[in-house]
Amino acid sequence: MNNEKDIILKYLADLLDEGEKIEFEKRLEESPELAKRMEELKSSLDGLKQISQTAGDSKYFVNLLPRIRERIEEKKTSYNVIEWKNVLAMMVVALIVAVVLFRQNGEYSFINYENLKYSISSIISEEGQSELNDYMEARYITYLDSRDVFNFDLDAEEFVNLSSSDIDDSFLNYRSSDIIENGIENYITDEEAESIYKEILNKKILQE
Amino acid sequence: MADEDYKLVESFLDGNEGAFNKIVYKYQQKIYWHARRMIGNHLDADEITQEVLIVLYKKLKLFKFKSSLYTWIYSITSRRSINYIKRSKIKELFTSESSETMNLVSHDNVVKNLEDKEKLRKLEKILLKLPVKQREVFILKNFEELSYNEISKITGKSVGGLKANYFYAIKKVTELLGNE
Repeated sequence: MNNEKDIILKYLADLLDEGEKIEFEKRLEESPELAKRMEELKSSLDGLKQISQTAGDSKYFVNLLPRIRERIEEKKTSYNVIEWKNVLAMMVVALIVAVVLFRQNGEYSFINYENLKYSISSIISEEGQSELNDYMEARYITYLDSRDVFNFDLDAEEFVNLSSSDIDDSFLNYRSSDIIENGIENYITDEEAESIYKEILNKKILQE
Repeated sequence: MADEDYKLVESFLDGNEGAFNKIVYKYQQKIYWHARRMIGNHLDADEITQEVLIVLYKKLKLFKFKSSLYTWIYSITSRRSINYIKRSKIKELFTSESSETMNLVSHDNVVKNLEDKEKLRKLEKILLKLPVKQREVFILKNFEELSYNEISKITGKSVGGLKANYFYAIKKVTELLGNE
């Protein structure tokens, strides 16, 4: 009996293959009992569908739009504040970087991402993931985190496959609070400072 | 329907806020009832409905009509509802009440008629007994009368997997309804 029910339900769920379907439909024509059983199951499901068509209170739906509009307006206001905060944060970052750069009397060098990636690949192949984590912590983790590019949990393969542009972009995304708290000048290398500076210029955050 | 939706979205993106209102009026009930059937209570379904409509307002400019608008809307609603269910399960770990109990005792502000309330309670009790994936496909197929292909676009699941889930869902539902 239950096996028969399963076949009916599989038919309703369109789970029978073409051969089984034809065979079932033939049986359905020949057996009034089977047809009746199928009708019972179908009407059970249809009954549930009717129950589901409960009329909702029209007042609730009439009032929904004004509530949405109110929330959208609230969000717009808060976004404006956040945007201004972001602009201010970027200005602070730019200012700090500029100070760092000028302190170093123009001794800039250019970071070679391919070399960086190569050295990381070597660490992974020779020492494994834990060594990579130590290396990343020592060099980057304190201030680069916003895109999880240099996260502890970073998948080593993923990092090696990042493009230079990905790495470049991440430099502009670090949290200004971290920079202010930790003092970027204590962690940054000449090469990195140069790269950040170039990004700032490219993105017209600061003029030369 | 797709053509009408396209015009509404285009009009909204051209700065006509009234077009967004029309989209809300057109889809708010579908969103609410889908969330309500997934979650089983009014308060959270209301919150999800609002969130979905706000997401719609913010993200419509990114909508490229690669799928139909209603598919996209159902997809957002489903995803948010499932996320809510997952959070509820986590919350359940720290409380003595099951989410099923919490849902059933929640206040209902959208159904006024007592008979309808009772019907809805019965329906929700059955739906909440289904695993989430089965519940989702059951609701979309049985109540929204969507095809497997449409449900596949909404859920990102294969049609074969959806058919299997629907089979197990209707098996469980008919058992619960007493059709052994």
